[in-house]
Amino acid sequence: MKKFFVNAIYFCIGIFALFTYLEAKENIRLSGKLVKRYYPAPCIVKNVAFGWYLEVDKSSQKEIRKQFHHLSKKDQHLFETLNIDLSLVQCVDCSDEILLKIRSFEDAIITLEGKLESPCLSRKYLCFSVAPEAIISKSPTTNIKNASLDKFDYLSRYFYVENESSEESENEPLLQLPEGDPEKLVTLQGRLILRLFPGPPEYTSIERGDRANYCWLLQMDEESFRIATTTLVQEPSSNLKSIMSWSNHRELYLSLEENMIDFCCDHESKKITVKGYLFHAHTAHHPTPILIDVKKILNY
Amino acid sequence: MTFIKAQTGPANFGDAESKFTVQYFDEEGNMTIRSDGKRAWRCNNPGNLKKSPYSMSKKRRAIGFAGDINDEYAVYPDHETGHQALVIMLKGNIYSPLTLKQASKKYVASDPDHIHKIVKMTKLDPNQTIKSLTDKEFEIYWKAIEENEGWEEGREDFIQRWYITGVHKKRGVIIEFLIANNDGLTWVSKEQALKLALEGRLHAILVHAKNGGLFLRPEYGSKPFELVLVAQKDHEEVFC
Repeated sequence: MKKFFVNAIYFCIGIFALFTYLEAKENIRLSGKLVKRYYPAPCIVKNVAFGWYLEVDKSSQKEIRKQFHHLSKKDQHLFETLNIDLSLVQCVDCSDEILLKIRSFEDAIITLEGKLESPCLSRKYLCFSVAPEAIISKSPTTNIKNASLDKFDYLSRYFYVENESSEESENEPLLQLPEGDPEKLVTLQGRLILRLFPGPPEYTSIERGDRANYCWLLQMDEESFRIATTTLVQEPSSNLKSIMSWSNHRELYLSLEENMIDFCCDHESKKITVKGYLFHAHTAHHPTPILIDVKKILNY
Repeated sequence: MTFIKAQTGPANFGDAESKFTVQYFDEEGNMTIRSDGKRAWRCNNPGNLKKSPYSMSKKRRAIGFAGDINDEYAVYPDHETGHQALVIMLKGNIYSPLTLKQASKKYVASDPDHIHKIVKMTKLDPNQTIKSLTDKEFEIYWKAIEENEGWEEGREDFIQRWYITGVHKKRGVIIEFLIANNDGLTWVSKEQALKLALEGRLHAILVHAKNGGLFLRPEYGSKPFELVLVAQKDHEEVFC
C-alpha cells in the first residue's frame, strides 16, 4: 500500500513536471529592441538574407534564462560552450501580417507574444527563437495622423509638383503577336544566375521584411537578347522602350518545372541553353521585363 | 468624385521608400492621398498589374502609375476598373487557354505554391482551363486571385484645392490672399499663397515675371479678381 502511494506521488510529480514543461512551451511575452541581422550569403543561397531579432530587455532576459535552465544539462553545457546569446531572440515563422508589422517597427522597442523555441545549432546566431503571434505594443512615436490640414508645412511633405505624364511609350509599337498566330518557340543562350528578389507580402524590399525570393535567371548573350527583344508575344505585351526602361533588361526570368531545379543548381554561373515561350512582365510577381516559360533546359 | 489622374507620393514618415503613397486628383484638382494598407488598394489595382503598355492602355482606363525605383504599378480610378483590367487579361488570348496550374505559373512566376493556394480557396480542378470555367466558377477564380494578392484598406486623406476669394492690396501691390478652405475663409501672406500655388494647392497660376518676381493669376477661364470693397484703411483695398 505504502509503495502504491509512493508511486502515485512520483506519478503526480511527473505530471506536474510535464505540465510545467508544457507551460514553458506556452506563449511568452518579451520586450526589447527589434533589429535586423544579416547573414553571409554563399553562391547558392537557400536561407533568408537576414533575420529579425529582438534584443531583449533585462526582465525578458530573466525569463529567457529561466527557459535556458529548463534545458537538459548537456544542452546547457553545449550552448554555453558555443557562446549562446541570451540577450537575443530570433523572430521566426512570422505570418505575413506580423511580418508587415515587424518591418515597420525596425529599431523600435516592442513587446511581442509568441511561442518560445529552443536554440537551433543550424542558425547563424545561437539564441532562443520566438514565433510571434502578436505584437502587443511598441514605444510611442510621432503620430502624424493627428496633424491638422491647416498646417502648411506638414502638408508640403505630401505634395509633388505635378508632371505631365508622357504618352510616348503608348506610341511605341507593341511586340505583340497578331491574334490567332501561334506562339514561337525560341532558343536562348547565356549564363545561368541565381538572384534574390523581394517576395511576399509586399514584393518590394527584403531589407524591410519581405521574404527572400530566389529566382533563376538567364543573363542573355547578344544574339539571345536580340531574339528576346524582337520576338512577338501574346497580349499582355510590352514595347521595346518599356522593356529597356528596366535596369535588368538583359536578364530573363526562367519559369521552370520542378524537375529542372536540380539542373539549375548544378549549372549555376555556367552557360546554358533554354527553349521555351517568351512572355512579358505584367504582374507584381514578375522580376524581369521578359520571362520564358521553359520547356527544355540544356548545356551550352 | 471621379479621379482623373494619379501619381506616386512620398512614403509616410518612418515607412520604407517602397511603401509609396498614391496621390489621386479629381476633376476639381482636389487631392486624395492613399497610404498604408496593401499596394493593391493604394493603386485601385486588385490584380497588382505592373505598369506596362497593356495595363496603361486607354482601353484599360488607367489614370497613372505609382511605385518606387524598382517597380511601378498601374493606377485605376476605382476598384471596378482595376478589377476589369484583371478580368479582361484572364479572359484574353494568353490566359484563357491555360489550365489553372499553367495560369498560376504565368501569373506568379516566382511562387510555386500559388496554385495550391488557389485550389485550396476555390476547390477547382487545377487541370481545368480558364475558358472552360462557368461564369460562377470564373468568379470564384478571380476572387481567389484577388484575395491572394491582398486588398487591405489603409488611410485616405482628402486635401481640397482651395479658391482665392479675395486679395488684400497695399499701395497697389497684393500682400495677402483670402483663401476659402474647409474651415471657412483664411487670410494668408503672399509668400504662403505662392508656396501653396507652387504645390498645386490653389486654383491659381503661378507666374514668373521677367524681373524674377513671382505672382498669382486666376486660372484660365475663371473670372479675374474684381474690386468689391475699397479702402479698408488708407492705401489698402480688398478685391475678390
